[in-house]
Amino acid sequence: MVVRSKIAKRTIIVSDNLEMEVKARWYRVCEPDYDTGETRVTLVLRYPKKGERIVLSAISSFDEAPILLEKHSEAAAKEDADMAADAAVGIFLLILGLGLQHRTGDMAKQLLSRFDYEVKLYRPDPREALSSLELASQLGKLVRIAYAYIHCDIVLSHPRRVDEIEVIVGRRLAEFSWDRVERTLDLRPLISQVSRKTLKELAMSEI
Amino acid sequence: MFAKGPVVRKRIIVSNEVEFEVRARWHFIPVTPGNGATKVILSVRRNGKVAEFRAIWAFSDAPFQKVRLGLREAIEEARNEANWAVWEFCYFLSLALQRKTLSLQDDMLLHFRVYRGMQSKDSWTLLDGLELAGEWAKLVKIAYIYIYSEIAVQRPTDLNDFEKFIGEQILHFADDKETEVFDLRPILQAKSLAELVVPQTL
Repeated sequence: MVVRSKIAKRTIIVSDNLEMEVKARWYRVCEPDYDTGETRVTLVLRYPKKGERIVLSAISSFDEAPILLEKHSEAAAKEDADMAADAAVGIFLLILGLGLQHRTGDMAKQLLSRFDYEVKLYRPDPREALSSLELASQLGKLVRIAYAYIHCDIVLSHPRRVDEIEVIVGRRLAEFSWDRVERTLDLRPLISQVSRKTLKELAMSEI
Repeated sequence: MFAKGPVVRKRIIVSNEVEFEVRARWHFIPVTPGNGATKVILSVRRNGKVAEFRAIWAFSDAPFQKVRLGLREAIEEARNEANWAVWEFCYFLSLALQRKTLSLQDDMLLHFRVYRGMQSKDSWTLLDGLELAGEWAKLVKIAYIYIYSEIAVQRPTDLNDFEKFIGEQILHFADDKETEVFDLRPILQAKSLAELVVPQTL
């Protein structure tokens, strides 16, 4: 029986003082009548110089696929649970990337669709919509904290070009979210490189 | 220094075992954007045990600004803020009971400026608003579940009709500034909904 998946993990080095680790794991949740599954995302903020860390956690999605697959093959169920955890980390980074790119409509859609909010709005029972909004807000809280740290670092490094640099960092984060190989993203060289180039140079290099 | 406004409260008696109290108060908080926030507390009393849930309804510095005109005006403004928060809680609860889910969502996301964040491309406003909306939704959901469960137990056959009727009554209760307590028990013990809707004299 698959009880939990492996931990999927990605690290973002924001500055010399701060590292963010995004972790996710799929868990089996045993209800009295049936079993279901949920994927939880954990954001760990590490301050290497101070030796301190803050841990925050939220539910990223509900996923029964590993339980359904278990009837056919336990290996496939385990693989699916690992994939669910990996996808949760990717989605978190993607939402964070969208936030930094100021693509607020897409960000809200991604956050709310994690818990089928739009579908539940048209169901007669308001409990489902209220629960979805609550869960989306808890996940949004984690995104907000990660966003605030990156935003503050950019503001302190380059107070005059915050928006441009945020968009570039956001795009890099979105690329990182889909990258299956890379496990660590260091934002320090990216931010310092961006600061030396002009907006025109950056636009040309992207073309 | 003017640090807190008066407490405004309303009580809903759901059954002999369960009742809840909604209370709101404006607080001076120097770090918030508006120099003040109206906090709402939902206390659920069940068989003598009390659980409390909190959420912020709005940020406002109006009571603080009114101190210049006089303390009485400032207190009155703070009372208005608290009254507004309690009214809105009852309003959202009434929307949920009437199953107006779309209105519930729209009003919540509009008030907490989630839509504004989406339109103005401001990620911070959106995420901040979403967090506050989630906390508020939690409060409404808790109150709704208690009322829903009681109606489902007492009136299993005409659950939807009673839910809608109670939703409307809660809105009237919110509008009535004189009444502080709303008792669901006589409504749920009525023989039929017609007995409640049609006046007794007819």
